[in-house]
Formats: sequence, structure tokens, C-alpha cells
Amino acid sequence: MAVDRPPYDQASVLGLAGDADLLASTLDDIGVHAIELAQTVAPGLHGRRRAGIGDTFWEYRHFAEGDYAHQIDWRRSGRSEQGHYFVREKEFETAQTVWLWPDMTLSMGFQSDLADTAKIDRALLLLLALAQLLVAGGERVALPGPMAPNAHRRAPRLIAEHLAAGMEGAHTRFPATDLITPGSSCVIFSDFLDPVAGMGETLAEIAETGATLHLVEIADPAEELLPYAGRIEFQSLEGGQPYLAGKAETLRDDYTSALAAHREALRHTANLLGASILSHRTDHSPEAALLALAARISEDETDLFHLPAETAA
Amino acid sequence: MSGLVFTSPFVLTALLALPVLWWLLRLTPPAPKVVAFPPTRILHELPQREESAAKSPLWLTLMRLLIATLIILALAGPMAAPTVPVSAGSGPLLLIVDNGWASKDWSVRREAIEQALDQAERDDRVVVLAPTADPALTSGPADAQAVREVADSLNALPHPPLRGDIATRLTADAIAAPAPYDVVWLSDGLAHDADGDAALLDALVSLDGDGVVTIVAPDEASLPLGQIGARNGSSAMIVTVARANTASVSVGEVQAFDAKGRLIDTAPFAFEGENLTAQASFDRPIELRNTFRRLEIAGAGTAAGVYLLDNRNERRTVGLVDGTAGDADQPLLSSAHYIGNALAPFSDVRRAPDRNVENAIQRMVDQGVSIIVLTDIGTIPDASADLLAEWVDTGGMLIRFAGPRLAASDDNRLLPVALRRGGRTLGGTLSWSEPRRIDTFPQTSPFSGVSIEAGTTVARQVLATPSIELADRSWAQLDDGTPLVTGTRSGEGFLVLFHIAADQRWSNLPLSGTFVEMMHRLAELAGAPRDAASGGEEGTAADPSGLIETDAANLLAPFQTLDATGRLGDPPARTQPLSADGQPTAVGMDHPPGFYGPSDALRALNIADETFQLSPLAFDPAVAQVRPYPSSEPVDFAPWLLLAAILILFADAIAVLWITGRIGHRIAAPTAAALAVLVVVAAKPVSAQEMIGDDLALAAANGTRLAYVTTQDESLNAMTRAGLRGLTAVLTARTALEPEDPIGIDIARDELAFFPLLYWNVSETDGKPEASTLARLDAYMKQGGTILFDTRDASISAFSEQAGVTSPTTRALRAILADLDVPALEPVPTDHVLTKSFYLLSSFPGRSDAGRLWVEAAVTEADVDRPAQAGDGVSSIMITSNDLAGAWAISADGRPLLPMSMAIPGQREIAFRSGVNIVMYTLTGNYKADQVHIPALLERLGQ
Repeated sequence: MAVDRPPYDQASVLGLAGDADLLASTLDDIGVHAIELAQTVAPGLHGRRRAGIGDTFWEYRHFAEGDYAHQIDWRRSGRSEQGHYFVREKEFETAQTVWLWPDMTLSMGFQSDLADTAKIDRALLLLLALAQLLVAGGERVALPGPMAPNAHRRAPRLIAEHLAAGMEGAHTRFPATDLITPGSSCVIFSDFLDPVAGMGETLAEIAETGATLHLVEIADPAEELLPYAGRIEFQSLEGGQPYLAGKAETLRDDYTSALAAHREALRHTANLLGASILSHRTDHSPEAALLALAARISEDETDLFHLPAETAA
Repeated sequence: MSGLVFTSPFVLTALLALPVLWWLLRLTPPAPKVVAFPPTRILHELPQREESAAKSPLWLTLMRLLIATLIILALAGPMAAPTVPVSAGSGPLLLIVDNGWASKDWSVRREAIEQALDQAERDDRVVVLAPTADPALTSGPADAQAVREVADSLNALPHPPLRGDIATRLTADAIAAPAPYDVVWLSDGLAHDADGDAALLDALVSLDGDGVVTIVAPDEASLPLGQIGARNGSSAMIVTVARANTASVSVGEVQAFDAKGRLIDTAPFAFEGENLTAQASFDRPIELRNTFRRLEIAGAGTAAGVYLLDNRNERRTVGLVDGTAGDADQPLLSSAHYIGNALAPFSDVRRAPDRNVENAIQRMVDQGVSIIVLTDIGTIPDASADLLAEWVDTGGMLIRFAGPRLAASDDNRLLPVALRRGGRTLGGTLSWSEPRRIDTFPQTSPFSGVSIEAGTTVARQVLATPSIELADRSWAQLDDGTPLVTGTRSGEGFLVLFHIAADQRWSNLPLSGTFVEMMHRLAELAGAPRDAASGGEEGTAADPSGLIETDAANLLAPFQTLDATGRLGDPPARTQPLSADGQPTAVGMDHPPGFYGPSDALRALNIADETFQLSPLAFDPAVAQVRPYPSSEPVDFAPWLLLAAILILFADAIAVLWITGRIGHRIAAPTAAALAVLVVVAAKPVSAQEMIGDDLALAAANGTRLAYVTTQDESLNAMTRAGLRGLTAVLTARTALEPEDPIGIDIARDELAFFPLLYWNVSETDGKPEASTLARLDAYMKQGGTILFDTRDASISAFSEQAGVTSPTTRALRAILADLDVPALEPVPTDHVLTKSFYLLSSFPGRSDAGRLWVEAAVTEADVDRPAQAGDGVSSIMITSNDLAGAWAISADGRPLLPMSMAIPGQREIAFRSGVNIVMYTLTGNYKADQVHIPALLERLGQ
């Protein structure tokens, strides 16, 4: 039995409707939530307050194995009664550029009965909250394509406006690589449901620019649990063959293991590219995801001049 | 007995298509439910499995076939038509039909006749049809076809059935010949005439084959009501209504119509207990009651439910001017007493207020009385005589009584006949003669038919001068031919003279019932206008018969008659004129109830006479059995079949949902049950709302309470409630105020007047309140209530301002305030009462300290040195964004529920103190503003 009408109301999918007012008001709400979210997380994040490359004095510390001799502050060491050598640390001041990219394809508009929000809404919420956090921390945020790196405190607002205006290339799953600069971070919010091989090639292209990749996999609880029973015709939101299940409840075990395999393949690919991957379900609290995300990005900064960290699960 | 028939039997051929339907239903699997699922691609990678059965389960198919079958059967129009209880057989059939006035359900009876004739025709039986109200139409014995022609023309008639006549006819040889009959009596269920009923039943039993007559009767409750009569009393018109048994209706209404058919008035009646009669009272002015012409039991639908009134039922007003002297001391012997009592039953008597005849007459004429009675007034003052003459010419009736003064008078004005002076005395000590008896009233007299009591004698009278008119004008005379009452037309009115005095001195007539009856006749006569014909004969109008409008044969032509349903219409052709002799005429075929006579002097003829009563048909159960009439409407089964189909369709829908997995097992059964209950039981609207309202009012009025506005957000409501509970605990512990538990109210519905303070945690999900709700709020605030709005967004307002967006709760609050009459606001100034009402406070933090508390801006006064502004009353609105309730919120065991921003030390304590201050402020108002003077006052007192 053919279905003429896509089962999911595409008009409500953000970024695809072309209804700029609706999108703008939705984004407004998301923006407020993002602010609240960022505020919740902010006290826990003091990423900027640490030693690094900069001009401002940060602290003296004991000379340690691996420090270069020219790092020793002789004046301080001279005053030391115990004869310790001190290294003068400067406060880290280099602004980090973080490229943010939401996957705004049709499949991101999915929202099951189990979730309070669509995947795209959660992705945008996390993105804007992260932008808020980063800007508050002095970082620069950017959208590959429409928005160049910007550290102004209104940058999250600008991002929201660009998203509302329907940014160029927004309907592709991954960002264009040409603008992403080496040494930056790139955060991609997507459901990563395409075949891993294809995604791996695109992600590799981004990783080749020298940016550190952070993949945030947004999943609807229904996508993990397959909470359907009975005679069901599953329709992909992005075309493709529908799948007719006689008794959907019998598929659950097979599906769960297939999904796990898909995720494992993705994780493997990400590891190869030095990318971190964070799975987030839309029925879970966004605060945890945002905290984890912020922590990972701050790790990039710490390890900016070191080898990429082991991004273990 | 009932037969199942199909109105469209050909539809049943559709049942042949059921096997095809079976095949189709088995072949088509249930449609899958379509769901969107982004990882469908992953599903395709799954190992392929067995597809579920493509066929519907057998029981589902059977259920659907049953639906189809039910619908086909319903479309075929199955009907069960109950039939009249004619026993099967081939013998002759005797149908007795009551078609008298009690035929409100004539269509049912007619249907029964049709059915009986149909049945007889099928069985080829000989039929006799005998309508009781019209025995002449008795037809047969003949075949059903022939009888049907008579039956088709049969109608209900407005008079009682003549069952005795029918009984006579039935025993005639021609009809009795084919006996024994199968007898069916389609009765009206009423006894009409005991003798006739018994005779008919006897005749039927003798004609019946098995000796048991089948009587078809309406059920007890549907027996008709009837009106026994109407009495136009002195203060009200009393209508008596009768019922045949206690099972029929017990309450109703009598409607009164005037001569033009307009509804004038209605009066209720109610049968009490076992009473078979009830009275309806028209308590109206006499002028209005006199216009009643037709009284009808609303919805009676029978001729007996209508009572017609003519001018005999009108109540006359009589002016009584007494000329006899010296009877003030013996009022029971006065003329006025006798006349008054004789007239009282059917007229209103107005007595002259004083002895001034001229004034009295003037007054009577002004009041528009119908009759003026002058007792023993010999000489009428000239002015009064002219007045009276004119009044009589325009329709008044002047009745004069003789007496010593009249006998001595020469004044012959306003008398029907010229009088001889002096009169004569009969009997007595100085006379040979005996007191004379009254002769029978002549046929032409208005008193015609009035019986004369034995022993009524006349001892003295005034005598008329002999003249050629005298005989014609004598309405009553003594047995020696001398006039007792003379009368004549004068213009439109009458001049009447009683040749005797109105008291007992001249005759004992005033003491007798005859006198009452004579006065009654005169009262009826009064106001009866004359018609043109009579007016033309005025020269010879000595014949009193001309006074009551008869034709040459002394008959009243039918004017309008009632039909069986109680409607007035043109009289049927066979209606005979009514005799005008005043004798009561029985309603019958020749005289249907109705109005007779000329249009301006109608005589009403009613079914209900003095002996009329309603009672159920009585019979000996040994010789008769009662059967009900077949209900007029055949039972249609189609709706029931369709209902069954719909119910099964519901079950099918639930089953399909269950099969396709759209609802689980756990839901399916309760859903089905709920649907079944919904379909079977009509949902009864619950009036719980008012109870809740009362409970709320009681709870709110029995103790001071903090109240909060409930929103659609349940978790927010719970938090607000916990907050107010915390504040209540603090208030109870620290202040004189010990509030009851806080209460949540619905601003759209609940009464707000009980609450001094309303805490409103603004919710972004609630829409803007309706205009009526805002009006309530506005009134609440203006009547002294205070609303504390909390937007809870102080903690993010800094961020929000930075990002250039407004928080949703602030937007919601702005929407609410936009349509409220809100005064100018200001942040609480340092000298505001709020800062001093219990604790000394400098800020009002909640969970956050970033926001400020806004109150109504105080009226600025020149006296700025005052320590606290004497705000006249309490601010009706307070707005904060600090989430006060969140700070107050405690769990059941008294622990705080939410963390604080801790911008200031001991912030939760300060928050509680803020709450205490706010509550104290709303309760005490500017009292505390005065309290701040106390140190200064004490200081002065100390000095």
C-alpha cells in the first residue's frame, strides 16, 4: 500500500520549511534554553584559567622533566631558599576557533512519541549553548560557510540568525571543508545514519584540514529501542525503499545488534581520524552532553601543541 | 400476533454476494501502519524473516460478514406489524366500532378496522360492520369488499355512541341469520349509557360463536378527559374536569377562548389522589370571564374535552335600588335581601349605597350594569327616568317590583303596561276571595319550562289597565288570567314589571325556588340583543318568543358544531335545529354539540349535561375478554440492526488496531469496554463543578489561606504549592498569622474574593487568559486583592538581555498585563512599607537576587521626610522575577527543594523574610506605615 504523503510532516523540520518566522521563533526559544543550559554548565567550566601561551603571568611552578632550560625563570629561582628551579607559566590566551555544524537533513527532523523534542531541535540547542559557552570563554565560533570565526558575545545570536535564514549548504549532512582552518575544532551534530564507508570518506576530508573533529551523534530513543509492534511499514525520511515488517516486535534484537555494529564502525572510523564521538539521546538531559562536549573541546586546547589525545569511549 | 415483513425484499438478493465478500475479505491483509523511521536503511540490512500472514484471521472475516449481513437486512426494511386480534377461521365476522366522541385515537381504530377487513378478505369471510355512533351505517352481512366501502367513509362523531340502538339492530333477523359470529368490539373503553352498554353486550354474547366477546380497548392511561361543566361564580369561573379512572393523566390545563377563537386565559387542574374530578379555576374579573365562549382541556382532542358557553353562562351585574322604607332594622325581611339572594348564584348584585334614588340610578348606569332592579319606587325623578329610558333603549333590562308606592303612583313611565291605580287584595279578613295560584307559564314566555312550586300564592297585586297588548306582554299570570309579570322590549332593552312586591308581604313567590329560577331566566335574557327580524316586528313585538330569537317554527338553527376532535366547524348537513323552548336537549346524531341560533344570541349545546360522567367500560369477564389495540406504528427493526452493525464495526476497529499493533493488549480490552459503555450509557453531565465551587468557597472562607494561580504546568503548580507551604510554615512559626494550607485556584472560574494575596507563577505554556478572566482579575485587584507575579527569569535575564531575547515567562506576563488596568509601577523604594512590615529588609530575593520587586508607584507627596510612605492601601500588584516560591519551597519533611544562587549570605532566610513581609503588607496595609512612628511616639510619651 503506497503512501502518497511523507509520513513525517516535513514542514515542521527546522531549516527545511522555509518558514523563516516559524524558524526564527523556534530558534528564539531554543536560544533562551541554550542560554539557560549554558548557564547551568558554566560554573563547572574554567577552561580559560590555566597555563598556556600568552603574555599574562599565570603561576610559577617547579621545573620538571621535559621542560626546556630557557623556560626557567632565573629571578624567581634565585630567590628560592631550597634551590628549586621555577618555571614561569603564562596564562593561556590563544583563542580557539570552533566550527559548528548542524546536520539539517530530513532525518534530523524525526521525533518519536518517546522524545520531547526533534533531533534537530536538540542539535540546535546543544550547538547554540555550546556557542554561548565558547563565546563566554573567549573562543571564536564559526559556521563553515556563512559565518567566519567570530568571538563577539553576540556570535551565538548571529549563528541563530544564519540558521534561521537557511544557511548555504545546510541541507548536506557534513560541512564544506575549504574554510576550516588547521588547528581549529569542528563540532558536527548529526545522526550519522548513512553508511559508515561514505561518511568516513567525508569525515576524513575534514580531518585532513588539520581540525580536530568532534562528532555528536544525536539519536531518538525510538531509533535505539525500536518500540514498534505489529504490522509496520517503516519509511525512511530521505527516500529509499520502505521496509515492511510483519511483526515489528520480532525485529528488535536483530536491529539492536545491527545498530550497535553501525555505531562501532563509526567509532572505529572516528578513532582513526582522531575524532571524538559523543552519543546523545534526545530523551536524555542536554546538560550532560553539553558538559562532556565542553570538556572535550577544552581538552583540545590543553593538547593544542601535543599529540591528539586518545579519545577513548 | 405479528408478521415480519420486508419493505424492500429485493435488497435481500444482496445476501447472495456474501461469498464473494468472504473471498475478498480473506484475501486482503490488514493495511500496515506507516511510521517514519530514519534508520530504515539499517533495517534493510537485517536478515530477512518470514512475512506475517497475509490473510485476515477467520474470526475477523466472520465479524465483517456479519456486519455486511446486518446492513443488508436493515436496508431490506424489516417490519413487525402487530395486528388486530381477529381469530382465524372462516365464519362470519361481526365488527362493532365505537365512533362516538371518545375517538381521539380514531386513526388507530380505523387501522384496526382495515386490518380486520384485510384479514376477513384473505379468509373470504362474511362481515358485519356496526358503528355505534351512527347505527344507520350498519352494513352487512356482506363480503369484506362491500363492507370496506362503508368503513372507508366512517368517521368519528361528536356525540356519545348509541349502543342500545345498535343492540336492537343486531338482533334483527337479517343480521342474526349468519350467526354464530366471531365478534370483535373495537371500543372506546368508556361506559356511556349503562342500559345501552348492557344491551349491546348481551346481544354480542348471544351472537358470538364461543360466547366470549373480544373487546379491543385502549389502555387505561389513554382514556380521555371530559368537562362536566363550568360555573361562573362570584369570584371565579370554576370548571369541573372528569376522568374515567385514576390511571389517566392527573394534571392538565383548561384553555378559555372567546367568541373569535382567541385564547384568553388558561387555568391548571390536578386530580388529587383517587378523585375522578378536578377543578380548574379562572380567577379573573367578571368582564373577562363573560367573554369566555369555549373552554377546552388542552390537548384533549375530543368533543367532550370542550365545554361551550353562551350568554346564559355570563354573569350579569345587577344594580339594586330599593324603594321600600324602614326595613333597615330588619334586613332579612327586606326586598333587597330576597332579590339579592335570588340573583346571587348567577350574577353580581350591586346595591345602592344610599336612599337617594337619583344618585343611585346615576351610579348604576355609570357602572354599566346589565340589569337595574327597582323595588316599589312609584315615582321616578324626571332626570332619572330619562336616564333609565335611554339606558333601556341601549340594551339594559329594567325590572321593577310593585309595592304600596307603585300602586299609589300615577306615573306610568318605564312600565311595560299601564297600571290601574291601587291594585287588588285577594283573601284576607275582609275578602271572600282566596289568594291566587300562579298559572303555568306560557310557551312564549321567557319563564317557559320553569316549574312552579306547589303552594306559591299571590295575595296582592297591582293590576294592568286592560289593553290589546296585555296578553302578549304577560310573561306570567295568575290562574285567573291577571298578569303577574309583564315585560316588553324597549329599544334594545327590556322593561319588566313584577306585579307583586319583592318581599313576602304580597306573595310568597319571593320565598320560593321558582322566584330564583325566574330571576335566572331574566338574567339570561338581559343583554341578549335582538336581531333585525325581531326589530322589524317591533310594532307587534308583544310575543315574548321574539325576545329569544327563534325562527317561525320556534327553532334555533345550528350555527357551528363540534366535530369528534372538539373543533368548531360548519354543522353537518343532517344537523337539526334546536328547539327553542328552553328544554334541555340531549346531544345526538341530529344535535351534535355546538352553538345554535343566530350569531349574536347563540345557544350552546354540550355533551356534558347534569348526568354526565366518565367511567370505564364495565363488563362481565366471563363473557368478554379485553385486548389492546395494535400500536399504530409498526415496529421497524432497521435501526436496531444498524446499531448492532455499528457496534460490531467499533469492535472491528479495535480488533484491527490490536492486530496491527497500534494498541497493546492491555489497552485494547479497556478501550473496547469503554467504547461499549459509551455507546450503551448516555453520558450524564456531572454537576461536580458546583460542588467543587462550594467546597472551595467553604475552605477558603473558613480560614485565611495563601492562594496561588494554577497553570497548565503541573510541575510548576506543585512547586508553587510547595513554596507557599513553606511560607505558611514560616508564617505560622514566626508571626501571629497562622494560615491554613495553601490552595490552588483557577482564575477563570473560582471565586477570588476570599484571598488577600494571589501568587501567580507565570507559565509560558498557558496562553493569555480570556477577556472575561482578565475582567475578573481587574475587579479583584480593584476590590483590594493583591496579585504577586513571578516570572522566575532573573537568573537568566542577564544572559537574555545580552542575547537580545526576552524570556518566555516575561513575554507571558507582558501579555497578561497588556489588558489589565495596571497602575504605574516602581521598584520597591527603600522607604516603602514592604521593607518594614515585619522584618527590616533592603531587598527581596528569591532563588536569585538579580531581579527587583516592583510595586505600584506611591503617590509622591511633598512630605518627603516621612520615614515610610503612607501608601493609601496596598499595592494591588507586585512583580518579581526572583522565583520566590522556588526559594520557599519545602518538601514534606521540611527540607528545601531547590538550590539558591547564594548571591547574598543567608539568601533563603532573606527570601522567607521577604515572603513574611509581603504577606504582612497585604494583610495590614499601611498600618505598619504608622508603626514606624512608634519610636518617636514613645520618645515623646517618655518626655
